[in-house]
Amino acid sequence: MKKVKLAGYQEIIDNIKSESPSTTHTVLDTEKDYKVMEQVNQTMEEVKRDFELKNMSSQISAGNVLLTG
Amino acid sequence: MEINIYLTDKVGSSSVVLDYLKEECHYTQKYSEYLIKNNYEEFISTLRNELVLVIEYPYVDKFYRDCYYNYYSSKLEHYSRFSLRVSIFEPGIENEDFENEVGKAKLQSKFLGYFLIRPTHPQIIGRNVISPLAFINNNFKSCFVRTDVTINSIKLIAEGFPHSSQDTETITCAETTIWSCMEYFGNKYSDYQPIKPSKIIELLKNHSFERQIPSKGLNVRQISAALKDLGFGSIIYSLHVYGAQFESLLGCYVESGIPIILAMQNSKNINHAILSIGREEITSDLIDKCPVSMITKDKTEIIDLNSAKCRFVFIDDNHPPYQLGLYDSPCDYYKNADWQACKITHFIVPLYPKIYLEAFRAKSFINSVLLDTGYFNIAPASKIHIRYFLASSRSYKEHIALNPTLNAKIKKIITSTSMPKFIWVAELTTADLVKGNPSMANGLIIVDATEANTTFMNPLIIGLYNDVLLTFAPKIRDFDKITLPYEPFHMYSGNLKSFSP
Repeated sequence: MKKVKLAGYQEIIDNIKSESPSTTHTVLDTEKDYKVMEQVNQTMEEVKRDFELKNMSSQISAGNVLLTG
Repeated sequence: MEINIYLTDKVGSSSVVLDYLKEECHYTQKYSEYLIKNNYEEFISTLRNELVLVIEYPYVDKFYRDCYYNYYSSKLEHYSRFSLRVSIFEPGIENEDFENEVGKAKLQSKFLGYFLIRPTHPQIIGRNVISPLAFINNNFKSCFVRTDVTINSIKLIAEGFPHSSQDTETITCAETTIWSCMEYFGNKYSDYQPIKPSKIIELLKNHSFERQIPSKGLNVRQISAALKDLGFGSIIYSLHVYGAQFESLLGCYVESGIPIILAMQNSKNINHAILSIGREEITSDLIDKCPVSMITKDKTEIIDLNSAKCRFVFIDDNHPPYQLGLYDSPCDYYKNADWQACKITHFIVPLYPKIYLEAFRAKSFINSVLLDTGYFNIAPASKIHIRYFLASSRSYKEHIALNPTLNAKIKKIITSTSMPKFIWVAELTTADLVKGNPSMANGLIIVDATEANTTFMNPLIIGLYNDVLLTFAPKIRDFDKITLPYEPFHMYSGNLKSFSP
């Protein structure tokens, strides 16, 4: 039987880009994109610090109370 | 030694269990009757009346034998080594079905699981795996596991969630939740092993400063440590620390199909551990009552469907399996007012060890990608309903591949994108779409659960909303933003199984 390669990720993306170039845009090509990324980075850095504190506090607050049922 | 085998119904089973308690456990007639009335009959009262029961004794139960040889055998009081097993079937089975292949197939189709009676008075209900279909109330979705069992020499498969009552001496609620959790994961995934109670004691030797038997219970950190030693990347969440987000985080993990250990307390020194394994269906009314979890500067509202006030499904070792309770009043099914006042204070999640991005950060990341980037053209004052959950990429890709209404190009892009074993998924929808039958989504964000480094949107795999597809281009390590119209598509339902007929 003749082998047939099924269309994968790149082929589909390339097809979409060639069919209608105006509908696609590569992120991180412009200054604006970097500003967007920095905003996400900053939000997530705050979330990370918040989580680390919360995670540590959760362990401490768990305390030594025995769950006896 | 002869094995006694009986085919009976709920009413007839009491006299067989009574004989076992008298003959095998050497309890008096009066005390046996007391145990039948207050333990056995209370347990079976939750089962459907028309069911057929097959009872076998003496039965060797690995769980009880472990407790027996490590504890009960060293007491002065006589404890039998043997248990009694009750197997549950839909009506219509006969003795002859245990003698041929056709009968075996019929038995399997009608088999609803089993439970054990053990000689640890007064808590005589031993381990069990019973299908929700055997219970009067089974209108919920939950995790389940399949386990092999041999009934009257015929090998069958039981389906349900492992449960046992505590005996209060070798195992309290804390140990039974660990055992139940491992019984589930060990029978379901090759990465884990089911364990016996003595193994829990051995694991916690270095985390205990006094003798461990008779058991005085375990604290939250000991439970988490035991799960860590058993191969999980366990995490503790505290109500006191997470505040309003605590409930939605719990709902998120329940939606992910992960059994979670809940610690509950009240002001009267009741401290209890149970497992949460599922939830009731989220009705239209509950969707309407879902609180707004976030409002952006341009008045866009995020409604977190993980906070829907549906009842959770609990495995509680003081009650038959599959109890239902609300987040705010989880112990409503207790008769005692003190117990009813219990609140969930902590929960412990037995995460797969390579899920490095946990729920709090994953949800925050998804919200940031959706709202901070501006890539999805979200109109001011929009209302976005979001359901967040973990899924295995294999199951989720199959869901996408077979989704009847999703754009074919989007399907192919998602299914041919490389993903880790577990992914975080956020399904974006509207109140009308999620209330539909089936529930539909109009957006999707897929995040890599193994990526805890969130800089430059590293964990993002796919973003799809408002006809915009944001996708990671593997060769150039960059994102493509593509405008691609699509129709709403079916929401995922593979994490929890519905048992209602």
